[in-house]
Amino acid sequence: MSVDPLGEQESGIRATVERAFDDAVTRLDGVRPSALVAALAALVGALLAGLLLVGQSATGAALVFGGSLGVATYLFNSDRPLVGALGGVVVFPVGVLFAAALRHVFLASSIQVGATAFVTMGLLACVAFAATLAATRAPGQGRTWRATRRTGRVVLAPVLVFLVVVLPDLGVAATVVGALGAILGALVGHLLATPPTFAALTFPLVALVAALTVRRALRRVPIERLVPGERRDRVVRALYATQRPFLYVALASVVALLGVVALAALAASPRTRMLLSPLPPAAAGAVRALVTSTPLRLALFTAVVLGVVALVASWVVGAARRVPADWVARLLAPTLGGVVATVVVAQALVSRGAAARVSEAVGGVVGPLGTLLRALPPFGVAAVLLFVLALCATLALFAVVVFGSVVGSSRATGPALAAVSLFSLALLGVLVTRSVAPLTVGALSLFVWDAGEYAHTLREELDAGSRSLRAELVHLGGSLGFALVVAAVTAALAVTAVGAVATANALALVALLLAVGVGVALLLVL
Amino acid sequence: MTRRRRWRGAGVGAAVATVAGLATGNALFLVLAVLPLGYAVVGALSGVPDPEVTVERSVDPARPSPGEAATVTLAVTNEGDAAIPDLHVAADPPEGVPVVDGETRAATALGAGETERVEYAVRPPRGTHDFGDVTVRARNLAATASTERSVTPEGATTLTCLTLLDSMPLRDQTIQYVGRTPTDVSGSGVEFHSVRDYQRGDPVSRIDWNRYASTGELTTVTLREERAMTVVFVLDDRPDAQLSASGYGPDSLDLSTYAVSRGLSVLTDENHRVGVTTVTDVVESWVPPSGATSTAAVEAAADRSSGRVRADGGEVGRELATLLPPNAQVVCCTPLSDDLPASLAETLARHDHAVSVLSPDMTSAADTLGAAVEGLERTNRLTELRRDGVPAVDWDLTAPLAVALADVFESGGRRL
Repeated sequence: MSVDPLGEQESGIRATVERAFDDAVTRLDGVRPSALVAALAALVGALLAGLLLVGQSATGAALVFGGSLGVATYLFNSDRPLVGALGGVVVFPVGVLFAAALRHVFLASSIQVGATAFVTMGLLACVAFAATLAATRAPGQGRTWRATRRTGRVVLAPVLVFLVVVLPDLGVAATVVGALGAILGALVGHLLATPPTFAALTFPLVALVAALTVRRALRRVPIERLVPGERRDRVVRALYATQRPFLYVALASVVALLGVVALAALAASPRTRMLLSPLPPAAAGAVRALVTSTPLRLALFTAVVLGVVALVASWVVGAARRVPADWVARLLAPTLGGVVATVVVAQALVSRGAAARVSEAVGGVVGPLGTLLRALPPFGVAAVLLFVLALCATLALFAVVVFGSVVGSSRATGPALAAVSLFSLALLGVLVTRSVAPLTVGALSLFVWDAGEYAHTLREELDAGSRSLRAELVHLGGSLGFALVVAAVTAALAVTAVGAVATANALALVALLLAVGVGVALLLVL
Repeated sequence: MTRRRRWRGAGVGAAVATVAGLATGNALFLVLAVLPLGYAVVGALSGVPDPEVTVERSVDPARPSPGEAATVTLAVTNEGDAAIPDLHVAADPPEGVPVVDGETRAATALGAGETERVEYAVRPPRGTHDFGDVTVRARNLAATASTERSVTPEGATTLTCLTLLDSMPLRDQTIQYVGRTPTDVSGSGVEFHSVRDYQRGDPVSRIDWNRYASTGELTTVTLREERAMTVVFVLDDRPDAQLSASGYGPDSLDLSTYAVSRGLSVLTDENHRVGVTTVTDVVESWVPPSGATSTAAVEAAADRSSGRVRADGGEVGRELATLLPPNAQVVCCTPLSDDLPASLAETLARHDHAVSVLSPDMTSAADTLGAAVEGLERTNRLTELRRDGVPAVDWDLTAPLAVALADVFESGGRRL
């Protein structure tokens, strides 16, 4: 019997295409209309808030960036290595869009305006991120964190290309090693508060990293297996109880970090001395002693190192147990996609002269970084540029992970992220514009949560192709109708009562406060 | 009744807006706080649904054959006076019966007196399977409270998968009892065999009067005698020898059992003496001449399976040979996943028992490398069996069993 290899190949490709098509149809069939309506409402709300706060261009940049983050997250959550590799390619455009969005912040006329624009654009990006993923199971169930980890692997791609292509030149290698040593030395010195110039800024950062690392190690490393079986339950309970304080430390560190950044923005300097100057001398002394304490810093560093070592050891043991080829392919796919993208894009940048222009632009940078950049050939500069872009994408995704964990709903993460971001935008809009328009964004935020959480519930309770359209239409109709009624009532309140309250009528203010208090009490009691 | 606190976050939002309003002196924040509170209060004050629903279940076809899909329909009717804005229905298909199409769950809104249908298809394995109850969950419009109930549907409560066969390949090895197998021996029957000289006592109706009229010779027409046979089915029920196709559907043991039960039914109807045994539990078990009890006998044999690990076909053959009467022939139903059937056939042949093999092809449905390798090995075993003179039927699952059996008739078997 003769076999036609070409025919076999064609039928294989056809079968693959047919499977991909069927897969896409199945996925689309599983999308709940409520999720799409919630996504649409979220985007409309984000557009309104963005136009009110940062203007058309910045809003567009933030929304596109958020959408691209969503696409990357979706791609990185695929189990297919090819799709994961495509995610490795997409990371670099995401970094470019991040830089384009950040440009609007740096163009702000003042630090206050810049900070407002930064927060607004971050929230807009979160809304777009959640809206892009509305039809999927992401960003919940650890999917954003998974995408962050895989994006982190893409960061390795420019480094690998750099090592292979640029470092064989011994002169460049010596310069790079020297410059990196100097940069790392300075960085570690600041993190250890020697010198203590930026100690107030670095302390919450080190505490945050230490708390997150130790908490993760406690969660991931199977410590209970080291004790006899009869004591395992007790150890598991103890480990679980131990995790919570680290979460509180991490959240406190985030709050402290935000506070320090805000203070630095107000003081126009991140130096410890400037940051502590508004405090009373006694309090300033205590804070200085805390943030510059070398033993404490060393303890935090030790905790980070131990946590990382335990995590890596646990990962290696786990990896050794599951060595199937598909697992290895999934592991390496993002990095390989990133390597391909790095080589192609870096070569394109070199051939078009863009890398040389970047070299000229950074020629004025002083210190070890400047030395490093000036010593690199154009291809090396392009690789460094791509490394920075991938790092930006990773940091952006990590920021979404942190914000998502602060938002709190581990079940309906996407709708919660979109609704909280929109409501925060409404608050920001009221604060900045002092107009009634942001109330619309507030009403939309509640509708987004209602519709999105309902779609999420349906997705949990039903199978992918189960019918639910009629129930969804009824729910959406009721929710939208109620949103309109509440929005009308609040608008009427704003136009009539608030005008009087804002000027002199303290009685009306008290009445409003009472109404809010009664509402909160009802909420808690019922 | 369950209440969900899906608006807890709204309280936080309202509190934040209130604090912001107090801190900045901007009363618009307080107005903004009214929005989440409105949603939360309406959600908290929404009533708890009390659904009055009935469910009726029907199955089409009511008694599917193995491999055949049956559509299960649940008709859910709102018997109450009020509409149900959100009703979830979750069917409970029989355990071990795969759902191959449709969905077992649905959500809908049901007006008073309205009926909604939920349909799904199952492909049951051989046997009778019990349906479970249907779970219905009703939510209020704000989706903050739900009531869940378990409803026993009216209509079908079980799903039965039948096993019947219209023909089987058998070797030309009959016994001295009247049956329906034509033989090469002249005697009583309906098919022409030969013509011989008239002997005293021959029936007048058998005299060839045409020949007598033309030649004057008195001759008698003899007919091909039909006799009964003894057939013993051997079901290869070893768990580690079974194969299953990708996706849902019966495995090789289901198909073998199906073929045996159908063969039994036909053979017992035609007065043949039939027995059933399994590879893991070789016992003498003759089937009474009744269709219903024949099917039960096969199912009993399959259920009696000891799950014993057996790899030596010669040993099985020797055990079986001690139980078989002379001239009994054996039909082995096996997926041919190893060499046991070949050594079994060889051993039985040494004891003068004819063996036929019927093998469902479970390997061609999947396009994986493993299935391809398994398929090649199976093809080699089929070839070796045929080379040794054993009629082996390669049962392609895309064709009816009767079509596959036609191959064996040309290769030496005899149709009953």
